[in-house]
This record gives sequence, structure tokens and C-alpha cells, in this order.
Amino acid sequence: MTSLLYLIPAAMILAVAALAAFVWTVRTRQYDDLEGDRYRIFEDDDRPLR
Amino acid sequence: MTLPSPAPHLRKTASGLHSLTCTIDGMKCGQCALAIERSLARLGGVASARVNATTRRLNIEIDRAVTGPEQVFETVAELGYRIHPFPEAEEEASREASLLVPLAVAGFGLMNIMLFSISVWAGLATDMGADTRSLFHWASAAVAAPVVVYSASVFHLPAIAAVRNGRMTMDVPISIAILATFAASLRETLHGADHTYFDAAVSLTFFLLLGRILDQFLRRRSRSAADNLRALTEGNAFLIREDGSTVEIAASALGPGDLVHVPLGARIPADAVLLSDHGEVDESAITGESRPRFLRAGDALTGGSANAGAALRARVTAAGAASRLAHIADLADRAGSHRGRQQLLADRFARGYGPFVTGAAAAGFLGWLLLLDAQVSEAVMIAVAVLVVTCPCAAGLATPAVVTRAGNRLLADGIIVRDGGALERLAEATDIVLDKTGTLTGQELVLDSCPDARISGRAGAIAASSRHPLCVALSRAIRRNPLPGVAEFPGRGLETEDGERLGSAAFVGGDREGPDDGLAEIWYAAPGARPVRFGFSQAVRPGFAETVEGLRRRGLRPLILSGDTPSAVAAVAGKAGIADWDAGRSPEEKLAQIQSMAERGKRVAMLGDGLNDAPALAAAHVSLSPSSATDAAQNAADVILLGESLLPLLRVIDVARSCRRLIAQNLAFAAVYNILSLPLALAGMLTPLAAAILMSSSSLLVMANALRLR
Repeated sequence: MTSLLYLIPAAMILAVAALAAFVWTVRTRQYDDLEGDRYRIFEDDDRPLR
Repeated sequence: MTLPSPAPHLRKTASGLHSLTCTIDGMKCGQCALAIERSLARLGGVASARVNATTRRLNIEIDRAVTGPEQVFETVAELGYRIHPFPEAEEEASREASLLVPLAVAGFGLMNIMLFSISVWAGLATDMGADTRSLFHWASAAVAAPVVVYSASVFHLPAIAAVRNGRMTMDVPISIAILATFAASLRETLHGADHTYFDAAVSLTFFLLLGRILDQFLRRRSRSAADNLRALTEGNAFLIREDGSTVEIAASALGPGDLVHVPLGARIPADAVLLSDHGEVDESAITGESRPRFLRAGDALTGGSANAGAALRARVTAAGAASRLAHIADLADRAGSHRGRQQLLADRFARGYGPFVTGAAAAGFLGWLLLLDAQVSEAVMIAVAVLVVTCPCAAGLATPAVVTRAGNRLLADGIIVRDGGALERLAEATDIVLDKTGTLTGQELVLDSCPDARISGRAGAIAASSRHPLCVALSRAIRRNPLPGVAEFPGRGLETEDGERLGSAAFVGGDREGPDDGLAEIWYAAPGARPVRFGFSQAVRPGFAETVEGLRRRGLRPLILSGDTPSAVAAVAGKAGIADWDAGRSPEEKLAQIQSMAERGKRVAMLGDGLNDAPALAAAHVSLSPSSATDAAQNAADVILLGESLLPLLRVIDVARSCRRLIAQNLAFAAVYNILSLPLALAGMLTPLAAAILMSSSSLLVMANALRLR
């Protein structure tokens, strides 16, 4: 059962990384225009929003 | 087409460029946004151009040395869209903290806590050791803590505020349940017990946040639609500088003493005195009087009225807070202050349910402690189980799920619901008060009384050469080629080379015989002949009679409350057989009438568009405005109807009623469901697993019920 002592922190670190990635997408305002973005993916020369 | 000037709204950025926010009307989908961006990118000097297809706004950064904002406007207009500068101040105010991050934290917690919970549930049935279980409980506590403290603060903070003000809202029982569940579970973990309810606290937070976020999405979409509409109607002013040149500035930047130029059809930007010899203004937005008023130099002009005649010059006497406009807006503000106190279904539910939940939990605790001689820790866990199972999780979702569904449906039909509670209030309405000018009638004038064909033909030919609104209406009714050599005397009328005259009664020499029928009028006379009169009235909006009939069938008593003359109001009321009408009402009188109706226990819905309606709109139980309404009216309105027709009024009433019915069903269902599972909790048979299943299934059922709204 000592493997749990590695596995639980490992699971937590991965989950926190995923959460951090999501928070980053919110911070960079990637949910502000879902309507426009679903057409924007077809653009070849799309520049990301600064 | 003249475009509104963007120049006053430009902002200088740190890099020396100028940025501008505009609202764009007429976009169908995201493709349009991309097409606009592509065209703008082709202009030189555009550093960045981004169109948000959700909010329908353009953010652009330009180098003014290369490209002026006017070129940006022309480019967009050429593509066939309407573009209008958007005031930055409003955009800033419309930003509120997003609930996405709290929801993400709760979602992260929910997924990971289930990892531990399911292990423990499985372990209880098999051979998990006490130490391992304790380790899993501690891990659960660590995951639950940020959810309960950070994510659930969305409920804690309003709950604290509500309790401080001595009110009971849905947030209070929610907050108590989440915190108590977490605290008791922590205590159990310390004592190495079998069961903890960390997962319940977390999933409670997650589901309730889901309801909140639905609510927020709808509110944002509606608000941005309403703000765009307001930006489209907001006017600029033409300031005449000392050197005689004119410059376009925002109307709010005017001060007393400024000289302004008001073109035909434009709104008068502030209270002012007329400097031109003659003027003709349409004050229908302020007084409700539909007939234009003739003015001479030195007469007072009221800000917000429209110039119905030739372009005029005026000196501003009062702007901003000192103007008549600001006074009425202030009246509306004060009349609207009662809104915050109105109780919605969910709040009423919470008022009854909150004490019941806490009472049941207390009864469970005392019952087990005193009657069954349980240990304190055991009794506490019973109380927590009761809190978990009765927590109005489904009730917290009940309203937002239905209102969001209704709001999105209505938005697709061209109806903007600015406040979700408005639908519930509209469903309760018993009477409906209608304004006449601009609300029941459209902007367009139609010829009402018309002399014989030969005279009409002559008058039509003369009128064809003028842009005066009455002449435009006349030549629309009687199409003739314009007569050459017609001289126009601004504010008075037209004269041909042969001496035929078309214009005001005084100019033509017309004499009113018989009673005044309240119509706008224009006179025609050939030299030496008797003058004849053409009367105009405003056309009623399409679907008027049908709408009034529909209102009656829905049990709403219509009443017209207008500032116009009795004869004009009677004419419109007669078209739909409305017997109840009042004419010549000032804004203050309209407000007083709405308030006295409310005191007699009536729930009044008000539909109005003018500045003169704003206080009454704010005082009404629920208020609606057509999209052509003045700023003040739109600010006071809960619901805005786009388009010319009145029929959407019936649609919004129908949706509001089924919305209210579904909310009531959802709340009743949530209460019954929770109360039925109460004995389970009181008997100490509610395991964390059962609690998790009960909670999610009731939430899903409530969401599914909301989808029944058509």
C-alpha cells in the first residue's frame, strides 16, 4: 500500500496541472467569443488574441 | 446614409495608436465577423481588428496618420452592416467576475474526490484497512477545502450579506449546508470514522455553481444586446465653434452656453434656446404629443425632442444633471428603487424552506441525542445527513435552468429579457398600461384626411421637392414628379413660381373650421382659392388590433395612458376597441397613476417608449419597451421588443407564463423529492453513496423539465 504515497500525490499534481491549464484559458479570454471562434479555426493565417 | 462620427470615442493607447470599440448590427454568424476582420485588415494602418461575434462588437487599433476612423466605418458600412461607436465606460461596467474559474475548481474537486470516495465505498465492502481509509479521508479533505472555501464563496458572500440585512435567500441554506457538511466531515476524519461527506459538499457546490453560471451567461448575452441597442440610439451633437466650423462631439460633453447645430431628424442634444428664426420640433418622446410644435427664435427647446423641420441652431441652456432629461431620468431612478425588494418564487421558497431545513436538522440532532441516547458525534452526523439530503440543490437549479432556456428562446425571437426575474413578474401581471405615441404607433406618418384628386395631385407634386417629414409623408401617399422652381421657406412652407402655397396654416392662410382632430396638418392653396387641409396621423404598429385582442384573451386589461391630445388618443384606442384611455398625461401623472394602481393591488405591466414613460416604466411591476425607445425608457425596461410589430408582446407573455409554471413545478418537485428522502436521513440510513445519487438525479430531472419550455 506504500505505492499510494506516490500515486496520490502524482494524481493530484496532474489534476492541478489540468486545472492550471484551464485557468490559463479563462485568463487569456478564450471563452469570450465562442460563436466567432468556431469559424475562426478554419482561418489559415489566424493570429492569437493578444 | 450618414454615419455617426466615431471621432469622439477614440482612445489613445500606450503605443501611440488609437483604439475604438464599436457595435456592429446585422451580423448573422461568425462568418460575418471574419469577413469584416478581413476587409479591415486590408486597410492600411490597422494594427489589429477583432470582431467578437458573441457580443457583436469590434475592437480596432488604428494608426490615425494612415487611416482615419471614418474609413473604418465606411468599410464596414459598405459590407452592409450598421456600425456605431460604443461608449467605453459602459463596456467596462458590463464586466463582472466570471464564475468559470470557481466552477473549474469545483469540477476538479468533484472528479478527484470521487477517486477517493469510490475507493472507500468499495473498501468498506471488502478489506480496506482503517489507516488506508483514514489516508483517503484526509486526501478528500485536502481536495474539498479549496472548493468549500473558494468556489462556494459565490454563495457564502451573498448569504452573509442577506443575513446581515435580515433577509432569507436561497444562498443561506446552501451556504449552511456546504459549511456544516465540510466541518462535520473534518471532525469525523479526525476521529477515524467510516463515513465522511466531503464528496457531498463538493458535488453540492458544483451543481449549484452550474445553475449560477447558466444565469450569468444569459444575463451577459442579454445585457450586451441591450447595451448595443442603446449605443445605436445614442446621439452625438454638432458643436459650432467660435470660428464658425462645426465639430461632432458626444452629447454628454456639452455645457451651458455652447452653440449647437441640429440637422433635420436629429435629436436635440440638451435643453437649449432656439437661435434660428423658425423651428419645428417633435416632442413626442417627452410629452407624448405627436403633432410637431412650431417655434420662433428665443423659444425653449427640450433635450431629447427631435428636430422635425429644417436644420436649426440653438444655444445650450442646461446640459447633464440640470436638464429636463436628467430630471425625468432621476424620477425614474427613484421610482425603480422598489424593484430590489420584490420577491421571486425562488426567494419565497427559500423563506419557507430555509427554516424548515435547519429545523429538521436540529430535530434530527436532538432526537438522536436525547431519545436514542446516541453519542454527540453520531447525532451530528445525522444532522449533517439531513442537511445534505434536504439542501435545495435542485431548487437552486430550478429557476436558472428555466429562465436561461426562456431567455435564449426569446432572444432568438427578437426579444431581449434584461432581467430574469422580469419573466416571473410578467406572468403575474393583471393589467397592462400602454403608451400611445411611438409605442402603439410607429414613427411613420400617414395621410388621414385628403381633399379631391386634382388638388392632391398638385400638392403632391409640390411636396416631392422637400425633405420636411410632412412633405415626405404627403408625397409617399400621393406620388408625383417634383415640380421645378419650388422655393422653400424653412419652418413655414413651400411656394411655386405660380404662387401656389403648401405649408403651415399661417403661411397658406388656412383657417381651422370645426373641432381640432389632433392630427398633424399641412395646408395647400392656389392663388385666390380657398385653402384646403391635409391631416396626418401616425400609423399604428402592425399587429395592433390582434395584440390587444390577444391581451384580453389572456386576461390582461389594456389601458392607454398618453401625453397626446384626447382626440388623437381616441382615434388610436378606437382602432382596437380599447375603452379605457387617458390623454394629456405628464410624466409625473403617469407615474402617479401606476403607483395608485399598484396600491389597489393590481400588478401592472407597462409598455412605453418615451422619456415621459420612463418613471412609469420604472414604477411598474414589469416594464417593456420597443427597440425604438429612448435611452431613459430602455434603461427602465425589463424587456425590449425588437422590430416594428407588437405581436412579440403576446409571445413574451406566453413564454413568461409557461416559465413561471415550470419554475413552480421544479420547486415543488425539489421540495417533495427532498422531503421524501428525509426519513432516510433521520433514520441514519443515508450513506454518502445514497446522498450522491439522490442529489445528482434530482438536479438532472430539474434540468430536463426546463427543456420542456417551447
